[in-house]
Amino acid sequence: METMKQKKALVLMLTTVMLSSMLAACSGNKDNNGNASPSASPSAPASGSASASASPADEPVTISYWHIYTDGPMKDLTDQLLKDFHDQHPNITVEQLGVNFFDYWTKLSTAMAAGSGPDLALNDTSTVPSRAKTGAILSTDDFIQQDGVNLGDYFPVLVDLMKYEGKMYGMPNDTDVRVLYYNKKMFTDAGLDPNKPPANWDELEQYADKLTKWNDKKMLDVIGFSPALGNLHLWTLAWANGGGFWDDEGKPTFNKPENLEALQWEKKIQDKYGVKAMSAFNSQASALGFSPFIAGKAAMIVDVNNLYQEIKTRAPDLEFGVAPIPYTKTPASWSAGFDLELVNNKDDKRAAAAWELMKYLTSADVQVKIHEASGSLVSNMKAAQDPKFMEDPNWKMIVDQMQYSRFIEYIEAMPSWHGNLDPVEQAVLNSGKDPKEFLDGAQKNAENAVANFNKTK
Amino acid sequence: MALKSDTILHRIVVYALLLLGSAAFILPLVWLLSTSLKGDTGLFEIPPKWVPDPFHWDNYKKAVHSFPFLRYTWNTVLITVLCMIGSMLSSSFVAYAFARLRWPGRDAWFVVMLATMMLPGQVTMIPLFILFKELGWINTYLPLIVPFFFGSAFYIFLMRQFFMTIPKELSEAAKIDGCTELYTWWRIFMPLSKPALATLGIFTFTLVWNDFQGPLIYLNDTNKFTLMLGLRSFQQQYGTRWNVMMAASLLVMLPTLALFFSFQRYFIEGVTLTGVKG
Repeated sequence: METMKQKKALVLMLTTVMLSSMLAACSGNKDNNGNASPSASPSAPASGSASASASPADEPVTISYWHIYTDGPMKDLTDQLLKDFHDQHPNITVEQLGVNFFDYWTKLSTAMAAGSGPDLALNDTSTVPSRAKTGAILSTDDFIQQDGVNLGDYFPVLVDLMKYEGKMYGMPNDTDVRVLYYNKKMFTDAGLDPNKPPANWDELEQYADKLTKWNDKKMLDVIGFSPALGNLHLWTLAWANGGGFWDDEGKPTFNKPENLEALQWEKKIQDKYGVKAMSAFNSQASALGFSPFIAGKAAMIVDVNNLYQEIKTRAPDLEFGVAPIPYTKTPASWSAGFDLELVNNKDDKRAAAAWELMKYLTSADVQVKIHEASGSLVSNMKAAQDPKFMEDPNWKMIVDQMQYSRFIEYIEAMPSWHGNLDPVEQAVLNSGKDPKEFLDGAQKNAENAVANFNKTK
Repeated sequence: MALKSDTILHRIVVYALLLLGSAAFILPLVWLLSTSLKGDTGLFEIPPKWVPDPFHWDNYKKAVHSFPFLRYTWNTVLITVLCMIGSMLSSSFVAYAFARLRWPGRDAWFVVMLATMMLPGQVTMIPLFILFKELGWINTYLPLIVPFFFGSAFYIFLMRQFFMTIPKELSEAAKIDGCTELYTWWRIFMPLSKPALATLGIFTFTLVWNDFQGPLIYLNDTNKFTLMLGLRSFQQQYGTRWNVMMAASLLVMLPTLALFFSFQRYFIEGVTLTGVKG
């Protein structure tokens, strides 16, 4: 009897907890909707952006700035930049906090959810609307106009991402882009023209066949090209094939024929190597601790522009070239990036000071220094396309891809839709699953996610 | 004769198994030590080298200078010691009430308390954070320390089970001599529960010393950071200085190792306490 009672008490407890958490979730959604309705202008951002004019110049103010630079050259540069900033603005004291990339998001999201975030935060460019909508961050429109910041100096694709309902919410800081790296020496050795990288999928396949080297044990010495290596994802290839995963109305189109073609093509290439040889290759490659392209184990690879920086430090003598990702219908690449945002702490003075720092960090001179320290693709085109950087044909090629590069669509019903696609791609490439079946499954999941989300509205 | 060779064989098998087991457990530690002495290039060599050549002792220098090591050590020690005191006092105090006092609804409340163990930390993270923010405790050590002064379900459970094994006659004798409950708890139960208290202290130590998420979300000022936060600073989006990180990890681990060897007895007892008496 005693245990029965205890059990009942336990069940009661759990039910109460679950119910109350559900209620909390529901009420949260209602709030969001209230804000989103077109008639009601988002109230919190409005109060913040109005403050632009009321920013007395010399009153002392202390602001906090959170970022991800905890080690290496970017940490040193950040310290130096903040010192320089303080010299220029003696009244503004900046308390900086660097948290490493992997933990930063926990720290920032917890603090912002509780309304105790920093005044200026480095954040994820592709999810700006989620914070702009709830009023967690402030519009920078008035500041931009007041100080005459020319948005034309920044990569257009990045500026577009910062906009929500026509207003700017922060400034883009830096981004990245994926390109094809190819080993020129291997091209020459295989009788290919080292100045003619593959431009389309057929060429990519033919070149890969010529460049691949098998040894006596039927294992891979060199892989010509593998979609499983580097940083090529299904969505990038699908975009290059005229495909896409969401239509203009926000409906999923995961099993579009163009997407299926891309996945089938990937599978065709990957099947040439076979699961056994590939997994042997992978276990060797992962032991390297750096890209197989640098080790001369892959003749061509699609990877982020940071690989270029790594090649410069690890293998300065490597003869290689950089080219656009081969495409069938539309040139395409994938970018992700960081922006700077004014967190809504309901303090106009601190917001104005944080804007000063944001303006400083995204100015051309400072962004040149950031590129020099980290090699990253900075958002200010004046800095990224500085003549002294553009002399390098590889860097120029990387920067030029920005006109074709896309970001992951921000889908409120399914913010991590692209993360769900990677396992699908893996399963098809490594376990020999049927591409169509898997894309149909992904489509169904996406449809369900959207339907469930619509129910909560 | 036959019996004797049997026991020898038996012993050989047992020791071989034990050796194998210890090797398996010591291997990661040896690897940690080995990596911490490697240069930047030898990190991922195949086949792996166990003895680095040459020894890069400067990794330890780099580790200590990459973040304010002494400052973070002091912060961590301060938090850990206060948490240990807090959890030993409060948990045993509450446990005494559950074990020895008779009051209405005691067993029901015990179940409620145990039920709090079922709540995953992620569920309470944001509400707790908001609570501490309203109290103005963000960027102080209070959210990390104060909760330990209010007991925690598992420790209370542990102490209660131990207190139940102490003969009733002892507390009754104390009562006849005019001892109050508070005095009985402090003068009779606490001294008798040293093994359980030591277990509790060690558990709290490892929990707080290794805690990462708490300091991460509550502390904003780098001067207030703990060692665990310092350790993570070596990990970057594009690459990690593994050798320096391992050197720092080893230094951070030393107190835990020292504690383990000096209180090994209690560690083991802790396992049997929590394992059998449930």
